[in-house]
Amino acid sequence: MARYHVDNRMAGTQQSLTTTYKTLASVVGVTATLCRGRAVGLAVGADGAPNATDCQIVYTVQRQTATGTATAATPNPIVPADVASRSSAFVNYTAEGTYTLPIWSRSLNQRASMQWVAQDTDAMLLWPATNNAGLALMALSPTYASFALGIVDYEDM
Amino acid sequence: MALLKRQAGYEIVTSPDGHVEEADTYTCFHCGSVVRCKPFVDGAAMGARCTCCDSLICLHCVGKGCTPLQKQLERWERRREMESLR
Repeated sequence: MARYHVDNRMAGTQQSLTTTYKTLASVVGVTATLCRGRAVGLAVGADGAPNATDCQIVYTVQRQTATGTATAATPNPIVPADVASRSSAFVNYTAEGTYTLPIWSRSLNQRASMQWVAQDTDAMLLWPATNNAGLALMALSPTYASFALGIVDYEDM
Repeated sequence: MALLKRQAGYEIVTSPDGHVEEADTYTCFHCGSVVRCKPFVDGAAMGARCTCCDSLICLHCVGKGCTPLQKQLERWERRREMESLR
């Protein structure tokens, strides 16, 4: 099954973190090429100079039911010979979408980074074959006010 | 242990001092949330095994009946289809 990579350095302008969630990257189904998808890996970390006062950044993945205002990004097939992704990716949200349920949350030091990988199919983070429904990776920080990087590796099903 | 392997994930946190912390995770079969397996902690403190679908679930889903995520996805997809037909 083809795997794809999307991160919020691929398109648009990175948005500074605030005390409320800013979506870094999301992957959703689209009517024209509707299919389920599943995230197989996540990576997060700060992408700017650290704040002088040490602080935390909270990262979370939530289920998304409607997209907000964001820049469309073209997911990169991890194997270049694979076909283009049937799901759509959006990065660097300026207006948040609609989210229903957090399924992955971590609070990290601003200088820390983290990777998560699913080792088997039942561990992957699924989303339905529904228009504009998918997963969104977002971050907030009470103090750190620069950029964060969010990486999502996923498969179309 | 076989259940944990099937639903297993792995996370690596690199701390500011360069210390690397690794941990196993599992994905709840009912809601799809990722649970971190804390070392030397009683399994009941992290979640439970659903006796209906024979899978690991998170604390949040304990005692709420068995609705695997696959079933929920089907429901969501059907609901959206119905909405689009209206």
